[in-house]
Amino acid sequence: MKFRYKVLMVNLIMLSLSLGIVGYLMIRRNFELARDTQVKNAIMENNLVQSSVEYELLQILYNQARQVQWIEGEISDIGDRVVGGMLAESSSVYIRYADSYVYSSDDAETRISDTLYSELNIGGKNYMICKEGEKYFIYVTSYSEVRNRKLYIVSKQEISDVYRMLEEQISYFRVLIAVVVLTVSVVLYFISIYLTRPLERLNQVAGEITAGNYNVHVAVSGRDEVGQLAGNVNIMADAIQAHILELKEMIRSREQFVADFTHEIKTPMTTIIGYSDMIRSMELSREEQILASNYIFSEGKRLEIMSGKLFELLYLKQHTLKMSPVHTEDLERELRRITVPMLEKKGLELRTDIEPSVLMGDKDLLITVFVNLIDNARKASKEDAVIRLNGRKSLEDACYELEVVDYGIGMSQEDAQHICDEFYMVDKSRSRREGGAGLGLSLSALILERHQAVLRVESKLGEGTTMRVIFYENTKTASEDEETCK
Amino acid sequence: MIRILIVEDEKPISDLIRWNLTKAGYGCTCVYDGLEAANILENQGFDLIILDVMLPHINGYELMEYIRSLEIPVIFLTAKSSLEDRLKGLTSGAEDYMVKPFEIVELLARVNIVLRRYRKAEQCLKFRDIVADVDNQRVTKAGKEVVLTPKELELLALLMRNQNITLFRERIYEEIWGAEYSVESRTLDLHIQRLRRKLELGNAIKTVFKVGYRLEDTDEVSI
Repeated sequence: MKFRYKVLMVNLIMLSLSLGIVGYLMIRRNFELARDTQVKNAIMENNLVQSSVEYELLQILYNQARQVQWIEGEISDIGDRVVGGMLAESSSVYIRYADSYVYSSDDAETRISDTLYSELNIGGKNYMICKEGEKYFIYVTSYSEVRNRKLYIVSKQEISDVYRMLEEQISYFRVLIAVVVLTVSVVLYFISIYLTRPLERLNQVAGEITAGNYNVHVAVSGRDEVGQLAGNVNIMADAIQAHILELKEMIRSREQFVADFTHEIKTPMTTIIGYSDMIRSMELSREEQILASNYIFSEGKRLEIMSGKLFELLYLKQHTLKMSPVHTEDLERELRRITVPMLEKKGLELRTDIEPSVLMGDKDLLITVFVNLIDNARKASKEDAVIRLNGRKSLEDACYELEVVDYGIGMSQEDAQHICDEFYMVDKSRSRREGGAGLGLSLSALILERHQAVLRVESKLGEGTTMRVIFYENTKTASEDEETCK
Repeated sequence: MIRILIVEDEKPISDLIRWNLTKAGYGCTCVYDGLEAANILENQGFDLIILDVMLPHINGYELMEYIRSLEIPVIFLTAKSSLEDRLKGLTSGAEDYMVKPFEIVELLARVNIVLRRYRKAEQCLKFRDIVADVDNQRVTKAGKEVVLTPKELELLALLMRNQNITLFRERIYEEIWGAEYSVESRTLDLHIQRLRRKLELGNAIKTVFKVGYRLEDTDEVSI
């Protein structure tokens, strides 16, 4: 059952119950008051009759000095006089003197119950209400003694009006209660609709969120519980939307990575399959065989490099680094040892200018980064050029900057933005010739990110490139400043 | 001679295609990016273009817009194999679409089909004194007609199109019967035997031990 109907039902039941109880008590009280008045009237009438009868009876007995035995005929006269003089039409009187019925104004004495006579003391009165047919009557009995003989006077009066009034009131009250309950239920219905409308709206919004539409808001104002709930639902929807967007972005970047990876792997695959297909299905000369197998070899090598780099990337993403102090002089010495032989093949010179300092980091990974940067510089440089490796402290920014500078071919602004993307190569064919996999800088960027260091690229086509790595001493500033490479 | 322009930025793949097409008797020119391709197309005419999609400077789809006005058939070559990419390639006006990695037989077959569609390749395949007219289902040897079943004709055409190339059993099954190769099946060997007998190709169709067959013109010197 809907909440609004529950509210409606509970309210209606409470209302009907309370109205019923109040009405019942009111009508009952009313009836009792009216009946008591009637009883009082009847008793008063009985008193009147009694005193008149006693008076007349005594007068006859004293004045005429008669014997009680002869009085019977007189009683009937007295009864007629008294009754004819003072009683209303609906009333009747019975007079009984000396244990025998003597007078009845309407010949109905047999209906008078014996209980009316019993339990009465001298001067006492008793009354009883009886239903005869559709009518209600009150019988009042009085008992006294005249000349040592019992005198009972029973007066009967119709009080049907009181009961009719009761019935009228009850039926009027029924109509009244029906009208009131009907009116109130209509009003309550609209009130409950008005009160539960925000809930309905919330319900719809929850449904939409379930259906996947997170860009919904509840327009419910107010400071009550419903308003608070609406506010919280809005906050929840926003949070879900943010999370979903984040997840989607994550999935998109994963998919992009997989797509890039598949595409990247297709080239060596095509080469390997194509040339091996040639070797197996054609008669090739010795030179042709060497050429073909050389292609297979070098592309196989590239796949190997790629898988190694990929493994490192995945490894880095999942493991924490072991940070320890790294002396910049050590770093310089190691880098020289690794890169100089490689550079000399192309006639390149590495000039270093390193200000001694200590960095916190994983030494092997840092060496990987700088070997990578120097190797990129080597690939970009023309023969017999210079590559610089500079390191200096910057006191005002509380950081240490290490930069690799080359004077080679440089790259465009657009390329510079993408060089950290996985598989991105500025010049594909040249990079392939040099054995690149397009993963070196992505890897370096990830390593630096894990060191809270920042990589900045400055490059101009034809003039060269400066790759600057900034290590912050206070690592917190790094994340705020991180914008070049993520 | 039929001239084919190869637009492919990966040198090893470009070399691979050129090498094979040259061996199959086509004249090839290689360019390594879209801009270069547009330049060379301004000055020279070609019968077919093999076009990579991912190219530096101008990509394959963009270049396609330009090529369409020249009415040169194009075979797209790409690493992207999704349905979307295939549709995009074909709706852009390319004749065919080839996904990397590919086999040489597949490359030669597609090139041949597209050229025949454009009536640029000879309609009849020739080997010594045998002429096979695939479209009209006729084979003649020294001018006299030889009756072949459709499958025998298809097999003969496959062999003739790939002269001096070893055709592996799997590949032949796939091309002719469109089915998976099963080791026990002797169908292929029976067809080869009948071809040898009907066309007196006993020596020319060489059995390459365990792997397949090769139609070899022993007089021809390999390139």
